[in-house]
Amino acid sequence: MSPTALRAMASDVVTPRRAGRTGSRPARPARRHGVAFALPFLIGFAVFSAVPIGLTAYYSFTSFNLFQSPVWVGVDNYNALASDSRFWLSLGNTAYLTVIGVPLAIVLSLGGALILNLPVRGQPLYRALVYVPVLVPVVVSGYLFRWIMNAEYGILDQLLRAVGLPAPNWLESPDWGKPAIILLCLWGIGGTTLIYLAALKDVPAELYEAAALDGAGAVRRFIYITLPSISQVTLFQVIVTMISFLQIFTQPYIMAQDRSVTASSYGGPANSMLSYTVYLFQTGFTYLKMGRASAMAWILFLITLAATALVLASSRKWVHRDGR
Amino acid sequence: MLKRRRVMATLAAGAIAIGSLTACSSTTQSSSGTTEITFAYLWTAEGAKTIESMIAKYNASQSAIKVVGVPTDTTKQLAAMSASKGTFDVSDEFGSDVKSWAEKGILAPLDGLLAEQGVDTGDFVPAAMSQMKYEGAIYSMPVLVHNLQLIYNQDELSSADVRVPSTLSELYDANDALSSVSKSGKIERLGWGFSSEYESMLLLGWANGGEWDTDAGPTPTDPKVVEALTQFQERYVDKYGADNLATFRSGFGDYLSDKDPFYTGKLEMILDGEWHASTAPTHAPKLNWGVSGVPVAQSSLAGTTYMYSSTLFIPTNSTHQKEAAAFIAWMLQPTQMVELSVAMVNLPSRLSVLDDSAFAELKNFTPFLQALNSDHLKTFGGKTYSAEYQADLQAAFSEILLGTKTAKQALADVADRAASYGK
Repeated sequence: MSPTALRAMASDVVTPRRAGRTGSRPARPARRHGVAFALPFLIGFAVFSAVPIGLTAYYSFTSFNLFQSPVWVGVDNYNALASDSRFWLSLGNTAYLTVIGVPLAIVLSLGGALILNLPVRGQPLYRALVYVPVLVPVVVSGYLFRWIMNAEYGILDQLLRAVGLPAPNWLESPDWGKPAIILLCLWGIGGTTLIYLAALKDVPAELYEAAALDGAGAVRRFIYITLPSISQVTLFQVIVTMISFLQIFTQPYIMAQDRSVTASSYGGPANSMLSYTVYLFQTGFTYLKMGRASAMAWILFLITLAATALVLASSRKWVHRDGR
Repeated sequence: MLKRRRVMATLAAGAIAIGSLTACSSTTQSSSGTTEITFAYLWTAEGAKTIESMIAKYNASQSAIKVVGVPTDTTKQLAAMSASKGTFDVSDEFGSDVKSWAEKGILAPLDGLLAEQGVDTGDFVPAAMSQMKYEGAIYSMPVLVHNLQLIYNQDELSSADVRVPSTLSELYDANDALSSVSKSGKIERLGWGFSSEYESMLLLGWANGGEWDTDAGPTPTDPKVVEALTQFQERYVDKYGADNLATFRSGFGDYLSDKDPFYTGKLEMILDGEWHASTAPTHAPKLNWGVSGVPVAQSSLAGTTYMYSSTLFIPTNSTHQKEAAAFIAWMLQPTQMVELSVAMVNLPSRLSVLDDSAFAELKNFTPFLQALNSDHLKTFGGKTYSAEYQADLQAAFSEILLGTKTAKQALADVADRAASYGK
């Protein structure tokens, strides 16, 4: 095939054809096709997401128990939550998990990615191993951690005792329940680590070479080249990890379980593990107060929105935007 | 024309799809006149097998109604009952939920249906029946009941020369005599411990003559209740140390398994239910265990126990309530009830079958059966706020056991929260 023909072919593939007579808007048939292709998603989104979300906004201003028609109560649910000590406790527990858990997850993921980026033999295997915990269902790793963290027989406390450190009663002490949950969450940071690893691979090698020529050491290269280069990925990781901690459910739900599994209280010792979403679930499905649970859902949404906005606003100071 | 055909074809496909879905719904009437109803049960494992065998027996006994059993859970149950047309016709739940669910209109009233089937509701344990009623009408029927007694390791009590305690004071004394603590303060064995902290601590309040709930509302600060839990904190938590107790508890194996602390000898006495007649021989065949009444503060309270029930109900959205009632009535007949009780190793809810010889084969079952005639059968729940109250009490009991609050403080906090129940 001649070069001219190849160019013509490439031009066919790459150059977008202008649809319709003039202007950038697609012609009507093309628009129809586009809408038709998007319709299954749009219908699904409307029926299964948009409408339920809208309904929870309405329910949050009603007294609703699933079975009887909702009764409008104005802002009563929000007022009741404001004076509910358990609501504040669950919010405090979730804030603790988020404030401690997110930085730890980010730092450990980045540290792990830096190690996985080293040119050593068997690296592909190590990278796969780091991701293995992500493949284990959280429920399974939760039960596994309950055994690992058993104060009497657990391997973690045995190791701590062996090196002369105090062995906490992870699951029975109100002081150690939340750290136990954070440890369980950190067990599953393989995904975050691999995203960081991909970001590290994208940092141009010539920047390191130039810095090295200028006499910059490893620490200075990390601070002045690596961190700014991956700061956009860090922003993404912080937001996603923060949202997952704010919505944390399975880990505290499993770790706080009563031995005889008869409890209708899901909070662990003195409710020290009661997370916001677990309390939301309890309010909705144990107390059958769906109106109040809806109000809780909206409060969490607004908190998440505010926290995300805060992180985004702060990112102007620490995210390197490639001159854009 | 083509467009119209397409529309018609689409409508036909939709109709077929809807028809298929309808065929999956709870009840159908076959051409032979057999009505099919669905029994969604919460029982799992061996319990589910027993229920399936009862269903098979019922289906073989007649041809008018065919019962299909499906396992479920409470969340699915509630979701199904919130729809206009149900996916099941009969289900089961604990008695503590009956009033709350009846108040929400989920449960069908049973008085008329049971009368049609000739069920003598006067033959059932009165305390259980009182949980089944809301505003005077019956909304559910107890099929099995349960109560707690003092279960003890006979050999250990004998070798320590400890008499089976009958008073609360003797219970604490026996605990001290049977417990073993190392020089470092580590608990190696406790004379008395918990299978369920929640149930045991409720029972302590009742055994001291207190009440947790009255018609006027929750009473977590009833002086007798506070006194009982203060005594517990002083003679148990403070004596052995909250941290030591927590560490000791963390070494407990799974409940009712080979590693259950009562079966392994970590606990010598527990307050627990009749099901040990089944689980103890399976998991600790060499254990020589006995059963006695719950220790109480004074003799007038003898026979005090915590009782709860497993109940059968018909959801309001069932379209075959008569057939469902016929099946429930059959399950409640003395023959079936005895068979079910023996198979499940739970107590029957009918007073007339308590002396049935079939129960003789179950070890240590008699004290649990006899307790059903007690004047001090206590139940919890059955109020619209019960689930919330239970969760608050569990949190308070946890705080008492951890020593993070005094019993008085923890219970006063529950009283504060209880003031906003129903709002």
